[in-house]
Amino acid sequence: MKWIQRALIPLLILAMLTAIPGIPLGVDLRGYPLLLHLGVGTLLAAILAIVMVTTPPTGSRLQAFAWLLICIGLLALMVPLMGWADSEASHRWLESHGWISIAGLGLLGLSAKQSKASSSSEN
Amino acid sequence: MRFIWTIGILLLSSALQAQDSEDRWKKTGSPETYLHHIELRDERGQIITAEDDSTKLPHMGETCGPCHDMNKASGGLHGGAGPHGSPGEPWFIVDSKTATRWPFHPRPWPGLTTPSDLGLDPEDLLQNFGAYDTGGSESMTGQASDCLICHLPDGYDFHRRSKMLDQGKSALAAFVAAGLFEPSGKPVSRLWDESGKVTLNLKGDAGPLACLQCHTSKPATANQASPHWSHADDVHLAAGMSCVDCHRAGIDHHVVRGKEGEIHPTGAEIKALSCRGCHLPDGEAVMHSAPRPEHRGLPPFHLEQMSCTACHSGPDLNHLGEKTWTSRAHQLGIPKQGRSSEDPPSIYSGILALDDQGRWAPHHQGWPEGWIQIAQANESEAVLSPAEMRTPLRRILRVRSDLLEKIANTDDDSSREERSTSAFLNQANPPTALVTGGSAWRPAPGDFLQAEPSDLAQPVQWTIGHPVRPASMSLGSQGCTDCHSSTTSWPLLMSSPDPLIRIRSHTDGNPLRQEQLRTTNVFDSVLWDLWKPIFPARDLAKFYFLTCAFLASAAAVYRFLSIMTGRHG
Repeated sequence: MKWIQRALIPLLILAMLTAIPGIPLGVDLRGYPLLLHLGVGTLLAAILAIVMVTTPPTGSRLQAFAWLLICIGLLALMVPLMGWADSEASHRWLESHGWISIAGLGLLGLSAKQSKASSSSEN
Repeated sequence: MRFIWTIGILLLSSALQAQDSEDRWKKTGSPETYLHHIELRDERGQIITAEDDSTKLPHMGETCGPCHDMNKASGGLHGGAGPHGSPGEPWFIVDSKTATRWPFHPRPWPGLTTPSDLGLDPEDLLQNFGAYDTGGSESMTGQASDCLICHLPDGYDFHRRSKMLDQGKSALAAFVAAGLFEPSGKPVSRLWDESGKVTLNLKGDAGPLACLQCHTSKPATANQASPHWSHADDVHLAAGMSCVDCHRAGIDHHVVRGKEGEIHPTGAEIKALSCRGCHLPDGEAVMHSAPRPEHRGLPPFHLEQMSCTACHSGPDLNHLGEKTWTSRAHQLGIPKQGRSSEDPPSIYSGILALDDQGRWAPHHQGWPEGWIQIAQANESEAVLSPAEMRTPLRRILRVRSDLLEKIANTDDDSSREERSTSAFLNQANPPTALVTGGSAWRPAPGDFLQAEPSDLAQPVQWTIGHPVRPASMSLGSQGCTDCHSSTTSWPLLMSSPDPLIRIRSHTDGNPLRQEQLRTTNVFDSVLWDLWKPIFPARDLAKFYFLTCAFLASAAAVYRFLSIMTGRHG
């Protein structure tokens, strides 16, 4: 089970890296980067669900909020994927998916930095 | 001071004159059709009576001129004037004596030869293409405007017009086609009433059939043995619209082409007269009933990188890449025996290429076939006109009427076509190559022909606008797999015609054509192949991602609330 947990952060980072070509506003991720992003994302979605469901809630409030954002980011993707929005709105949902996920990953990094700082001050 | 007064008076008088000239023309101001009860006039403006003999020929400008601004009406994009804009359908010169089928256009559109490059003078143009040219001040064929061909919806005999042009009687053609004059030039006297006038039911918008006479394309493969049930009315026409509802024009005949980004020569605002402008306007809806599509589930880049016509126009999926007839290239509207899909020129339909806006759009694609002068040290390659080729072909190959018939293979000699062509090319001066099948063929040792790349052998293409299919018949209406599947090759489709003559090396696979196929396509075929297997499993992927997303989100909410409320371990 631990390897799954360990794989989660590298996969998140990999997903973000493969999404870089889609970061400029108004640009959709497509082509080879999208294929890679989908490949990473397919694995990541399952691992994220398993980790969220099976591991006990621990960590700081910031960390919990970061994970919540990452999961909401995934949920935002469902709207265009399921055809619940028209094409123009899909564009905004896809951008939301990206920015919410990036914000979550950023906060996760921040929480890790804070916990590292607090543990070193305790030592 | 006197100078300023003089300038002022001059400006005022010219403004008043301009006002006068605009007011000079009669207008009913009503949407109702004005029934034309008019006198016909000759070129001196004299009225033609029913009793006149054939020495007094009618003149369109003088007949329409008293009420309409003929100077304006004879110009415009439809009359060959105005800006060149994006490429449209070229004309094709088809000459059986030299086996030439070469696309050209008087407008300098990329990749197209001009009439003068092909040695075509206005007389040749009138003879060959006059029937499909409505004339105008800048008309390619040099003929005067034929107002009746577009504005007389009933009783205009297109075939009679064509026959009159064949006889060189262009001035009389429109009036004979309208049934007002005998081919001899004698008035059809029963049409004149007691006041010496004729009644013509002319209309500003004579309906789509008037336009379709010259602007039709249809599958060339439609025949009795394999019926192609193409009640292919454009969705707009089926809804009761007319061509000119979108392709509007005033008296200046600057017909709106309906392309995105088009700038009208008059400066008129025409943004709403394109697909996107009407159906996907930035602000409020333009037309009351124009459906505003949602394209649910369609990734947005499709709308950004593809033209609307890519999915909503062109041939349906089962007929993509097939040969097409167009009115102008295949002389539709003129009765002919033995029409066949093999009739030149070869035009293929539904080929995806980038349009002038950089979007993927369906195109018609036509291939040049004929003779070129090979590039020399100080001369670039150039098209050789049929007129230039007739004499050497007659001298060397004894061709009198039809080159392909003359050199055709026989049961005993299956390489006659290639040998004859090779022999001809060996003797031709200047050094010549045969352009066909997308390559320039030069003589090779052993009476063979070898292919070489040539810019002049490249296909010409022009976008397909109509007929527009409704959403329920568009590509993608049955799901992503309409395009993204292992059985659909449409986006990678490239027409590759067989050469005019059977070439032995060609049957082994011509590498040039493969190379062309790979490099001229608008898609990355490797990426396309990688995407293909994903789409059939799209429904499964939706279920998978939805399950993961809901489980992860529900658990994350629980974790967050637990930590916030301090209820975790």
